[in-house]
Amino acid sequence: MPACKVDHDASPQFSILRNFYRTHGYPSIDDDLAEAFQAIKQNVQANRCRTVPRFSAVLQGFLLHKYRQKNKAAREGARGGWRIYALFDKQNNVLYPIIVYPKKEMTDVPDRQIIDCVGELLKVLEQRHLT
Amino acid sequence: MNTTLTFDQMEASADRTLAVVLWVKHARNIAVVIVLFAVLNETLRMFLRTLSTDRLNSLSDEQAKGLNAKLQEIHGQLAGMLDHGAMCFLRRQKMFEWFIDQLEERAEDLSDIIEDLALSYNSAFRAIVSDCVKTVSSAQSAETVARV
Repeated sequence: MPACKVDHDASPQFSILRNFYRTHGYPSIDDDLAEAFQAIKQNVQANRCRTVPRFSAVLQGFLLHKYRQKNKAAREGARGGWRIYALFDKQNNVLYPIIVYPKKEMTDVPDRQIIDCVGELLKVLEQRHLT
Repeated sequence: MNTTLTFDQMEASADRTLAVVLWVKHARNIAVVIVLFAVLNETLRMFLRTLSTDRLNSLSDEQAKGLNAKLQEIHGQLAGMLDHGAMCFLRRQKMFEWFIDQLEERAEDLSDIIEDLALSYNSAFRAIVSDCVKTVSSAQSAETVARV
């Protein structure tokens, strides 16, 4: 099992999103993320890790990983849950979480849902930059 | 062999025969559902394997959008089937539980692939990732300088 170091303080965007969700209906986010990072530290491929395709042009040598984590605050256990995007520095074996959001169950209009989701991420990040 | 049967005996015999016919019909339905679940599960497993990161990396934006439309159609059908009331009933039967769990897992994998593809041609999300790369890179540089 390939272990790795997880640096969850390097990305201010990640901290902003984490704080936002903690105060907006997801008080268990810290516990959920701690559980995820514990598993990922032991195995970088844990939590149904996927290497996200088609981002290499903006990644400057990092790999973009996506992880799933159960959301203790959600009613549905198996479906939904947190999605965590992280930059993986393969050379130094360090993972930098950059984005976290609660995945809702996909409905018939996933494009709309994704635009809304990205819109919410942008709004949270921009608001924080203004303060 | 006694060939004289009373009406009651004939009726009881008919009931027994009907019971066996219904039982066999029920068993056949279960067998058919199990085979269909197994075929669907394997078809999805093989299909998801073809959607590797390397293959998806080679797609243009237009190709990614076209493929995603198809994937959404598959996911819509699958989600509709899994959300159907009959599935709640089948899930309670031990023999179907594993198949339904597997199908849900594949639907979730497919949903993540759809999401990743859609995000990959979403310019706002690309900009967020690009910003994050810059901040993480500068944090890395600062840490290296501090260490030196």
